[in-house]
Amino acid sequence: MLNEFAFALINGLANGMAVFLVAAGLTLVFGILKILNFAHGGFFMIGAYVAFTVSGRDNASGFLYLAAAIVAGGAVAALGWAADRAIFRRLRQVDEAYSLIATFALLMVCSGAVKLIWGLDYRSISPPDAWAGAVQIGPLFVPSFSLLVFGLGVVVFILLDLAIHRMWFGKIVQCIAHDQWMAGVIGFNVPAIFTGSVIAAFFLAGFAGGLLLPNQALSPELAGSFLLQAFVVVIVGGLGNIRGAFIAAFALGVVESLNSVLMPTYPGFAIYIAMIAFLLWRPDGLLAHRKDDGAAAPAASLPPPPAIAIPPATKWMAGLIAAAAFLSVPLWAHEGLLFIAGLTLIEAVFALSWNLLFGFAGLATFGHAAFFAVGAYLVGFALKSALGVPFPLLLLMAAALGAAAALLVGSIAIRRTAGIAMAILTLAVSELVRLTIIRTHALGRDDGLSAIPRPSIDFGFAILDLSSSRAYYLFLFCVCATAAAILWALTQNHFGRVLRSIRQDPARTEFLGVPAMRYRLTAFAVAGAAAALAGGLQAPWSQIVTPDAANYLHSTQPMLNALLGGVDFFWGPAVGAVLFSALAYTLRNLPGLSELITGGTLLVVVLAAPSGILGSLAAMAGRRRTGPGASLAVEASERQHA
Amino acid sequence: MLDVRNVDKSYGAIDVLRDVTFSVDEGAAFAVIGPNGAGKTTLFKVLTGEAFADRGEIVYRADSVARLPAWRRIGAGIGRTFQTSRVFPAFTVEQNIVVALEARGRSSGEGRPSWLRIAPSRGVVEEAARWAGEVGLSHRLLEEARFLSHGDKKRLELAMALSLRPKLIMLDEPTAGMSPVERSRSVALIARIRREFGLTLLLTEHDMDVVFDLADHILVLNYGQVIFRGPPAEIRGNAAVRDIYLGQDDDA
Amino acid sequence: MLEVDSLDAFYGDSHILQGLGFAVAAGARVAVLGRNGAGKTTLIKSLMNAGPRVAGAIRFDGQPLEKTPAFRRSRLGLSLVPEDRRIFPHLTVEENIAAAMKAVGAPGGQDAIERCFARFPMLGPLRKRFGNQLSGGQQQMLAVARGLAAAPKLLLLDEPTEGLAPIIVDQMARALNAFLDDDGAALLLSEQNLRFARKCARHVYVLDSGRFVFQGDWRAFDANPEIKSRYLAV
Repeated sequence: MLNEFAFALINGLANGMAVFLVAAGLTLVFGILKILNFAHGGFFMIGAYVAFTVSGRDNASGFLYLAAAIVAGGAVAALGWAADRAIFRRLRQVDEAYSLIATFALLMVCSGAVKLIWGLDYRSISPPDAWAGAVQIGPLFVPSFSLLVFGLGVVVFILLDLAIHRMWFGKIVQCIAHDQWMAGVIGFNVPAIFTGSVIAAFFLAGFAGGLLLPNQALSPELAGSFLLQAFVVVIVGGLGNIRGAFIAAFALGVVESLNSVLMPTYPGFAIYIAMIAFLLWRPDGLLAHRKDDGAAAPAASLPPPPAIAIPPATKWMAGLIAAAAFLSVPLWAHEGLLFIAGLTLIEAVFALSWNLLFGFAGLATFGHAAFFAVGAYLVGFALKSALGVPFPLLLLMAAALGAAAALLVGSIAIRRTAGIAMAILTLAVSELVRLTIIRTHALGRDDGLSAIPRPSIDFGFAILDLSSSRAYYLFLFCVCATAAAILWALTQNHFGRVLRSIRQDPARTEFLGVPAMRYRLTAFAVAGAAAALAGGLQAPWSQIVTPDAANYLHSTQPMLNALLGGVDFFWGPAVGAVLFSALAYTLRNLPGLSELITGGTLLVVVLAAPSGILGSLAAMAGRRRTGPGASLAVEASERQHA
Repeated sequence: MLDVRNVDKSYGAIDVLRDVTFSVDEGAAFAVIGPNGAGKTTLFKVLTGEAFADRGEIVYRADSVARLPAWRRIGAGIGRTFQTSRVFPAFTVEQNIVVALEARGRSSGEGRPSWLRIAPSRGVVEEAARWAGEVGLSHRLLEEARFLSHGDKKRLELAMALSLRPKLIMLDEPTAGMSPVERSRSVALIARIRREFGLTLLLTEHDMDVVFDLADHILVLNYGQVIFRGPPAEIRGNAAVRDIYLGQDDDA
Repeated sequence: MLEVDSLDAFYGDSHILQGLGFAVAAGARVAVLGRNGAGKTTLIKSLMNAGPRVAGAIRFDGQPLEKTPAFRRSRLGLSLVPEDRRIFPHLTVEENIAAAMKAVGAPGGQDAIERCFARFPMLGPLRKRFGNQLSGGQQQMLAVARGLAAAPKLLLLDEPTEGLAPIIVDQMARALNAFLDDDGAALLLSEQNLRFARKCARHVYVLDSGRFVFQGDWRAFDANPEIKSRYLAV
């Protein structure tokens, strides 16, 4: 037992240090730019591929191994310089939810580029000969590569810590991180130092990719493999704090080894549980700089939506045309297209439910797919095991379960955290849901539930058979339309008005005598219910449900849809879902290129038209009506710097 | 009406309020003044529920409110405005007041807004227009709040606060950043509203003319401590107050 | 040394400064007085290109500044001490001063730091304390010391006495005057506190709603008591 544990501990710590190597650049970028860079995983992966290209598959030389890692670091640093100029510079003034989404889009671009350049194959690379063996420590044989990774992690930490805490350069960077304005006023060339630090952070990403190349499955999936754990380390350590990240990486190693010894059948659980517990205890992380003035500026959580109204007649007309178009699909489309149209409707409801939180209540959650999965698995399981529950009741149960789950998550997440901490907390919850599904035999583990039968509804006097695609599609359309209508009403009545007030200024809303927390929780429950309903509808439509339903990539889908369409418009996410589906359908045979184009489009939207397609259209229409001017939304935010 | 007893508040090692005690009588107009950093803003936060006192008691109409969250204090009848006006920028003037009125309907129990109704009820809309008229914003009813001038924003905020029907209203620097003309208009408006609705007033203010025009009681804070409490007539003769607050110029 | 011609400054749509023109000669000491919201801080920040959108001509040492970024202006010899102090909390008092020297590439090293402490003796015992361990008055003193550490030709000092006890105000006036006497640097002071302004400045501008409504020396200022009651009255 003791040996087993010691062995697990060494493995865990080596993995912890590997995570630290990835997290180091991540936390550095955050410390400087205040951006939690999703794309870091992508650049880490590019680093691994570059090192692979340099050193080849069967590299035996330890020197070449290191040299390749350094070349990879240099290459990624160059990409970082370009990314800083083109993207990060513009994200500095943007709300953090937008910058998270923009870096996520950049991650898509990275993984698309990798697929195009290096292809989709899995490759496995073994450590160079010098580090391929094992070292005997007491009764244990420890892979020497694990020791190497551990050592490299410690060395990188020591170097970084010296640079940041002992050298003037580090102090200047910290000055800029604390107070960019003042640093510039006393004479530091802030843009140049920014760029330098970003390049350093990206170098670390690429370098880590090269170092950790051996013993990995090198594939386009690599981007995500360390990313979530690196996020955990960065958040728990206190955003932007390198010492905190190091301690957290160490703790992660210990937790992981305990996990593998004590709960071997549930790998990976303990990390997320520990992180959630930790965030509830200290939402600012281990070594965060506490704001000591006690009086944080009461900035509105999001910039006010654009001051443009689309005339109601136009809206109704567009709505009717869209409805008619969707209703007509079974008349002319082939089976494949019909299937896509149905998925689009489901994704639209899913995206609308997410945007109820983001666009109306001002809450950016990154784990919305968990609720979708809850609904999908409930309905899938019930239909597959032919429990005999009427399908409409089943859908209602899915919604109720989704609401209950959301209430549970929300009451923890909203009460204790905000901003990035909340985003990561919800992400962790959805990861736990996914891990639970993968470990649950009744839910089909990794394979999910397949061959889910489509139901028929018995009205007593008649039976509505939904087994044909067309019939189910029409049913789907009606349910989605109803769900969307209910969500619409909830954003337009007094509840919606309160939510929109809360989004603009939560504290101000409390001073109207409104318990803002309860309203946000209610919105969370409603959004959870709608997401679960969307999941429940999807199970019999695709006839298969896999753990990917709860994957964090699926959580980002509604964000992308909402942002593309326009988060300030109720129907924006639905418009985005249609556009996204169309794009994905057109590019379906071009792996790599599709992600490149989708990610690129999204980046352009976030950077150039943050109010989305609808926002841009409305702004254009408004300009035609009233002439130029009226771009006051931007200027109002400038004024806050006064 | 409002009793503040031995309130302490510190941020980290800095004591911002030290043993602050005073009481505001029903119908009074009570001004809290003091140099920057004296603790006025913190006192305001503690009274409104934006922050909680470390020690001490706040009693409003025989009920302790020191531990109540902000939204419950509003429901109990304590209204407030903000130093830098906090209206909802993307809402029109009308919508701003409508949200306040619906919130009142919700917390008072009378006229709880219906979930099935999309647009606000006619009664609410009409009342919103009335409050806008009360502060002289009738002609701006459908304009988005972000386009209002500074003074108009302050007026809108006053209308929102009044529409909640408070008994005690706390004004945080009601004339800050106003031109002299706007300022005297605001003073007249506040005085009239106070008479009309029988409000008790608690305000902080930099401008001593405004304080003398409006207040019948003054409290002076310096370094978190009360150094003077009394009617305006006495303050001019008080040497300590002169020293820290009024007598900035040697030969004034 | 500093010449400003028809200076306009904006925050968004708000036209804060409206066509200001003035000059500060080498070694001159000027106070800009005015109420809250008159535009004093905007003026100071405009000269540094650190915030507002600015139109008009600013020349410093005969050189037009136009779009020159703040960090370059500071290397040219302008130094801004902001009203909210903005001490770097994670640096010690000594490091805060050293940072200002490094930022402009000023020579001198430890000697220069010691000279700075000699001028602000009240900072001496605090030199190893971190910025966030100082009281408001100590922070303000450090902010002024840091502003002077770069040996500027023109010090832009924004409301340094706000919230300070009278005794600290007097200490600061003494330290500041001693420095200006020794170095011959010029001062542009934005103030509401007449007592401090009288001690440090010789020439007065009164700013109201973005325009100058008075300029002259203290004698002229005192000869027009209505200026004080109308534009500055407490």
